[in-house]
Amino acid sequence: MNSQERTDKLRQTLSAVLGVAEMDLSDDSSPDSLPSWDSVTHLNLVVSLEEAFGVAFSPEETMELTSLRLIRLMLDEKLGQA
Amino acid sequence: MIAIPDTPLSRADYTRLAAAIQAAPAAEWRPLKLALLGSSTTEFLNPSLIVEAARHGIALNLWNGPYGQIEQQALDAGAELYQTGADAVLILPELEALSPDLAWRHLACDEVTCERLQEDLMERLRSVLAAIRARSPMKILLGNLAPPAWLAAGIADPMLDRALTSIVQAVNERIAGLCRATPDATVFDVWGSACSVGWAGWRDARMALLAKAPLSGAALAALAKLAGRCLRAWTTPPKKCLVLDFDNTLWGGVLGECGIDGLQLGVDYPGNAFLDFQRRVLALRDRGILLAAASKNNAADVEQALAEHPACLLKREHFAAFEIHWEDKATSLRRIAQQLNIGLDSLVFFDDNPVEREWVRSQLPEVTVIEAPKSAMLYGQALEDSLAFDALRFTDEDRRRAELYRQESARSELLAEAASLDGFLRSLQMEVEVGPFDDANLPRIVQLLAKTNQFNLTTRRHDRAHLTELLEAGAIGVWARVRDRFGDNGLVAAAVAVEANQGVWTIDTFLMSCRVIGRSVETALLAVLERRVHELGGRELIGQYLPTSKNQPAADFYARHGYQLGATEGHWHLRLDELRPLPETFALTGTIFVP
Repeated sequence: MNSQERTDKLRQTLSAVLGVAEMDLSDDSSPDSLPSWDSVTHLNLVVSLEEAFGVAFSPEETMELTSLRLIRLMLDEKLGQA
Repeated sequence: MIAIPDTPLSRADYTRLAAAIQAAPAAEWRPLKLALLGSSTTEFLNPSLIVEAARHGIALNLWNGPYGQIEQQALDAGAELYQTGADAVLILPELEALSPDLAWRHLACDEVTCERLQEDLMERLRSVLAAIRARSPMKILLGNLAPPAWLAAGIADPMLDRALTSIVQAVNERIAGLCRATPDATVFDVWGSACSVGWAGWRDARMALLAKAPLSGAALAALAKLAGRCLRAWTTPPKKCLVLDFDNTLWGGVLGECGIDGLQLGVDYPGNAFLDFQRRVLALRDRGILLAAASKNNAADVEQALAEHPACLLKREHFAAFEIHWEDKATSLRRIAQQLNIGLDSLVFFDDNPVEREWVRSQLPEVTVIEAPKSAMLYGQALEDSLAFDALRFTDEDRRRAELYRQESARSELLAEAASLDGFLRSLQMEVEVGPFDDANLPRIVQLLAKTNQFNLTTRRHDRAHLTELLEAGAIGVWARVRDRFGDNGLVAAAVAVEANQGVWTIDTFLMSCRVIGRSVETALLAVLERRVHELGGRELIGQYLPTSKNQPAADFYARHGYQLGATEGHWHLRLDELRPLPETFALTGTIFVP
């Protein structure tokens, strides 16, 4: 998976779980900017990301994944730079 | 229309599909409001529940109770649960939350304490069910307990005289007993789901700690699938008859070509795959599903194979109908439905030959045709996956059905021998018992109302709650049970009359199982109902016939019994000036209304 593919998949997953159009997502999208990103959706998102990318997040990491950018950086860390 | 894939769905898939379904539910879906109560957070179940219900044509509207408040919601008459207008409630108790001492400290408990903790837990669940049942007609799905989260004794647990897994299973048996004893309550088999997903993969410790949501994604999907199946079983009557082909379906090979000795059926592969399928088919018969044969063979060859093949479990007497000839299978299926007195839509057809399946599908769209897998090894699973025979309860009636049909064919032979119908009826030595509706017979009556299609004057599918309401408002409910020299047919007919206004009563419901049609049982039941109405001061009865695609056999019922067609279409009137004589071809007994 190259960098573009990873970003696309990330945006698709966020879009599906948060119920937001992909075009409305940016690197700064976060629980503060998206009303649908609440505590229940956040955990749904975490599990969805784990399923989509074949990774596992610790409870601490789970609590740090609070923007699209932070998720992307965490995935880069886990999967290596694409 | 939203397509729901059959492949396993990820959490993101469920979320996306659920949003699409809620935005645009199909018009033909049945709306159903489901309340969720759990020891833990139930919100995480929502997307998968919505999708798995939609798979069966149900548009789910969910209400999630606050976590850990099963009792608070059930026991408080003013609780939100009772304001939701829910059709059903799914309750998911967890051992770790309800009885932490049992879950974590059972090794520190002596026998008496251990029993007391189990009884305490059961008492709490009993009060929850009793409170809901007293306050609301909503249907109840009560989850049993999953295998324990942790075994204090480790690998020694199975060696304990009070193993934790055994305690959980014992509690689950008591939960089942509680559901059997509570009207419209059903066990929701969390234990079984956990076993199929895998004990180790059932929980997600991280989510338990972060969100009070201890279940893994796989567990949530499995529970949602089970819930979808239970909700479907509430709204879809089970099929009644499995119609089977023989060659390459119940045995390998073509009998006419390879002879009895050449059939694949026995202890080695591939014969054991067919043997395994026969075992499952026979078990379905034990469960009350009728078996019928529709096969293109010489009938004598098949009868000989059934009698003489040493490994063949299925015998001629297991089949309630036997269409073995060279005519087309749509014709065979029509004859089977006619002979067994059931609708074509109660038939399930299983045949390895895709051409036969296609022919039956094109000729008889009402019949459920199972897409038989290529390998016989997968036949049983295909039957299971079709959900065709799904029913939430197994009744005594189901247990005895196959035997009842065997008796019926003995009766038909007697009729063929008897010179007159009256003589035949007398020779049956029938005894008809009548009585009022009560708690003991209501489940069977509700079942009869739900599934009787042909001799059913109004086809009103009242559930237990509604029937109880009618009775409490003064309605008369009468049932009839029929025994004869061939055996007990069980409770086979029921009628309900309500007072419409001063002295004028209407027959809300009148139905009878087809297995006793043509024996004047309906006349006896009507006579008893009329007597009871008269006794309560009724002077006129109005019967209604509401035609459906299936109840033609009942069309002339009121005309035949002296009712006059009134001004309103389908309304038949009778003045109760003199009472109808009771039929003389059988003995009428009972606790009420019998002279």
